[in-house]
Amino acid sequence: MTRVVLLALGRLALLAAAVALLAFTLPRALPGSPLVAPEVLLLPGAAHQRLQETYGLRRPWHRQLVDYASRLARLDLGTSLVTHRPVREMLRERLGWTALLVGVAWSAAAVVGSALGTLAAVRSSSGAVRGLVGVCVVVASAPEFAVAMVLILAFSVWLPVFPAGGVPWASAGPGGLWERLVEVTRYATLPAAALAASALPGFALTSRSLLAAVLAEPFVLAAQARGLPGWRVLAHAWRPALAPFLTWAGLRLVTLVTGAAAVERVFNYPGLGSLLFDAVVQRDYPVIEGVFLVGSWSVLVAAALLEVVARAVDPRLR
Amino acid sequence: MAAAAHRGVPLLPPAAPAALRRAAWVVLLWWCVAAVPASARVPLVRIAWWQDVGFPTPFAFSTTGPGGVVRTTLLYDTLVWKNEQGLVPWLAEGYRVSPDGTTYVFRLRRGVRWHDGRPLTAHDVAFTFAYYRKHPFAWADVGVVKQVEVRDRETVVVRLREPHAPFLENVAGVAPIVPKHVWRWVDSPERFQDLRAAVGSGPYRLVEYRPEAGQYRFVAWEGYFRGPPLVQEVRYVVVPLARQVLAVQSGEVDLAMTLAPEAAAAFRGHPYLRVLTTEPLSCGRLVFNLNHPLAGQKRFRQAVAHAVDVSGLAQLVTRGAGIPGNPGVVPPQDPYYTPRVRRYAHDPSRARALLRELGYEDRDGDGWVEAADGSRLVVEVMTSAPRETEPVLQQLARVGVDARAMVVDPATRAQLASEGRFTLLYTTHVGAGGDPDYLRTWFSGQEANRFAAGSALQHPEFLRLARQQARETDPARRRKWVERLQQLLAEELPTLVLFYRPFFWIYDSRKFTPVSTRGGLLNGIPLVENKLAFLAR
Repeated sequence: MTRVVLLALGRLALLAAAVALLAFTLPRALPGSPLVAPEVLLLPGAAHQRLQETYGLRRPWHRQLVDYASRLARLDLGTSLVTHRPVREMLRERLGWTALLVGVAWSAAAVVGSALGTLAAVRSSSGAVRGLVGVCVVVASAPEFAVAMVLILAFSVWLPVFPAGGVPWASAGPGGLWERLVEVTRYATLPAAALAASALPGFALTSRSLLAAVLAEPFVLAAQARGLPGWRVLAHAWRPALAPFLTWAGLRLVTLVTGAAAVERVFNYPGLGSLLFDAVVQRDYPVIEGVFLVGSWSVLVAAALLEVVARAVDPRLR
Repeated sequence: MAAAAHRGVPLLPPAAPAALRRAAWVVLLWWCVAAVPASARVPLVRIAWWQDVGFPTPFAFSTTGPGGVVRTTLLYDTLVWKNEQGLVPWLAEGYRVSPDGTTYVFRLRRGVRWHDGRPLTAHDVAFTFAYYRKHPFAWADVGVVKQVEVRDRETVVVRLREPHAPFLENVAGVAPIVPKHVWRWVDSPERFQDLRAAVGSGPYRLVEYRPEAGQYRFVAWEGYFRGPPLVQEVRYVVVPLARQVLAVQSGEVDLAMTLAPEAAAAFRGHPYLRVLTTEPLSCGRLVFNLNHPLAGQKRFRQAVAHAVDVSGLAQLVTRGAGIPGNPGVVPPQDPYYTPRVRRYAHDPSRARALLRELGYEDRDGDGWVEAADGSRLVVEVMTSAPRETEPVLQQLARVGVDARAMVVDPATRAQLASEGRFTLLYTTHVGAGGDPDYLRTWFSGQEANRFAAGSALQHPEFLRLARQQARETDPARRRKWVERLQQLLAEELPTLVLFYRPFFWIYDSRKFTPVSTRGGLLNGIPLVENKLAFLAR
C-alpha cells in the first residue's frame, strides 16, 4: 500500500513539475511581448528601459528559467509586469471569488442534476421527462457565455432583479455581515446560475444513463420483489452508480473552472478566469504562470482526491 | 499669466504653537466646507471604465490605455492645467519664460496642502523632476529638463537642455507633482502601493482601491486650494464597453462612454441624461512599413491613398460620426491644422496608373494586378479589428490589389509592428490632439514602443523641421514649421489617416457636467473627467 501511495505521489510530483515547465514556456511562446504594450503611445525610452531592467526581461531565456525555478522553490510566484504587485496577492484576491462561483455552481448542478437524472431514469416513459431530457440536451450544447447573456437579458434588463455584473463595494455598502452576505449573493447569483445552468444538463443526463443501466440489473428487481420501498431501492441502485458519477463530476469540475472564465468575462466577475484573460492580453508572464500553476495544480490534487474517494465508495476499485 | 517672483508670506508665523496652528487649520477647513452650500454638493458620481487601471500613483498605474493616467489627475496636480479653452494656471499661479525659451520660473500658489496636511512647496516640485529622471513617469518625457532649482518656498526655476515649445502643455501640464516627504525614501515606486503612497494635492483622496474588481473610491479633499470639490465622492467601476450605455440608462453609473452615434442619439430629449461629444481625437489609420520593398515606395502609398475613399470609409466605419482622414495627419478642428496639403481624391484610375508605373498591371484580365513575371500583387494588412479593415481591403481590391487581412491580437500586432514585420497595418488610437509635437514623436521613432518601427520617416527635411518646431519659441514661426510638417506627411504618406472619431459620453446632468478639454486631457486624451468637472468654476 505504501508503495502505491509513494508511486502515486511521485507521479503527482512529476506531473506538477511538467506543468510548471509548461507554465513557463507557453506564455513566452505566444507572439507579442509585455514590453510592447499595444495601446501605449507615449512611453518614454527611459520608462521602457526601466521596465526591462526591473524584471530582467531581456535576459536569455535559460537564465529566466533558472530564476523562475528558484522563485518557485521559494514558493514565490513573482511580480506582475503590469500592476507591479505580487502575483500571490493577485491570486489570493480572486481565488475566493472563483471558488464561490465554481463551488456553488458545481454543487447546485450536481444535486439538482442528479435528482433530475434519477427522476428521468425512474420515469423514463413519461412525456414530461422526455421533454425535460430534450431541454437538457439543448442547454448542454449552449456555451456558458450564451446562457449568461440570456440570464442578463432576463434578470437584469427585462426584470431588473439582479445586477448585470461586477461585485459589491467592500466598504461603501451597508456595514453588517448579513447585509454583506446579501449583497454578495445578489451579485454572484446570475454568474453562478449561468454556470450551473450550463453544467446541470450534463449531470442530469449522466446520472440518468448511469442509473438506468443499474436499474436494469437483476438485484434491483430482487429488491423490488422483496417489497423494499422505492427510495431504498434507489439508494441501492445509486451505490454502484456513485463511483463513475463522482469521477465524471470531478472531470466536470475541471471543465467548469474553464467555463467560469467565460462567465466571469461576461459578468465582469473578478475571478481567476478574467485575471488570466487580462494577463494573456497584456502578456503579463508571471500572472499567466501563476494562474496556470494554481489552476493545474489544484486540478491534479482534486483528481488525486477524487480517486481516493472513488476507491472508498466502490470496493471494486480497491 | 504674468508673473514676478516674490517671497511668500507663510500662513502663520512658524513660531506659533503647534496647537494654535492646528486649530487655525481646522477653522480654515471648516470655512472652506462652509463656503459651499451643502445643498449644492453632490454626494456621489460613479464613472464606468472597462478595465482596472492599476494603483493610481504616477508610478504604478497601468499604461495600457489612457484610463490609468487620467485617474491619477484626480489625486495629483500639475503646474498648469487645461480647460475647454486651453492652458490655465494651476499649482503655479504664474510663470515667466526667459527670452531664449530655456528657463521657466514658476511661482507656486500659496497655501496648497498635501492630503496629509503638509504644505506643498517648491522643494516638492524640484524633487518631483529629479525623481522622474530616476523613475520615469510614463506619460511625459522629462528628459528635456536639465535642472530644477528652488529659489524660495514658492518659486521654482526649471532649466531646459534646449528650448522646448511643448514644455508647458506636454510636461508641466502632464507631470504630476509628488510629495517629497512620501517618496524620498522609496526605491521601487512602482511597488509602493498602499493608501500612504496615494498622497497627492489634487481635489480627491484615494480611500479605497480594489484591484480585482477595478473599483476606486475617491473622496473630496476638503482642504483643496480651489475650495472643496462639489462632488463629495467619485467612484470608478468596471463595466464592459458593450454594456456601458445600459449601465448609465439603468442608473448603475453616472458617466459612460460609447462609440456608437445612434446610441448617443437615443438620449436626445431625455429628462436628465445628456451626451457630451468630445473632439475627434481618436484616429483610425493605415501605417505603411517604409522599410518594406513595396510599401517603402512613395508611389505605392499614393496609389493606396487614391484607391481608398476616406469619406465613404469614415461614414461606414464610424457610422456617420467620424470625419474623413487628413493626409496631413492633424485633424481639421485642431488650431494647427492646415488645409494646404496634398489631397488624394478617390480616383481608382489614378491608383491603377500609379501601380502601372511601379510595374503592376492586370496582365491576364482576371481583375488583379500582376508584376512583370505574372505573379499577383498580394498585400497583407495587419489588423486587430478585421471588421473595420474589411472595407479598406474591398477598396484596394477594386484597383486590383489583392489585399488580405492578417488578423492578430493587439499584443502580437504591437510586437510585429515594433520589429518592422509588416507591410501595412491598421490601427486606431487616441492622441491626435494637444500640442502638435506628436507629429515629431510619431514619425521620428521617438516613442519607446516604436509603435511601428517601420513608420519612422527617414526624410532629412522632415526630421530637421520636426526638431526645429519643438525648439521654436515664436508661435507664428512654429505654426509655419508645423504646417510644413503636415505638407511633408501628406506628400510622403508614412501613414494614411482614414478617419477621426469622437467619443460620446452619456452623463447624468443632475449630478455633474463633464468637460471636453481643449486638445484632450493631458495630451490628446478624449476623456471627460477633467477635475474641473467636479470643482466650483
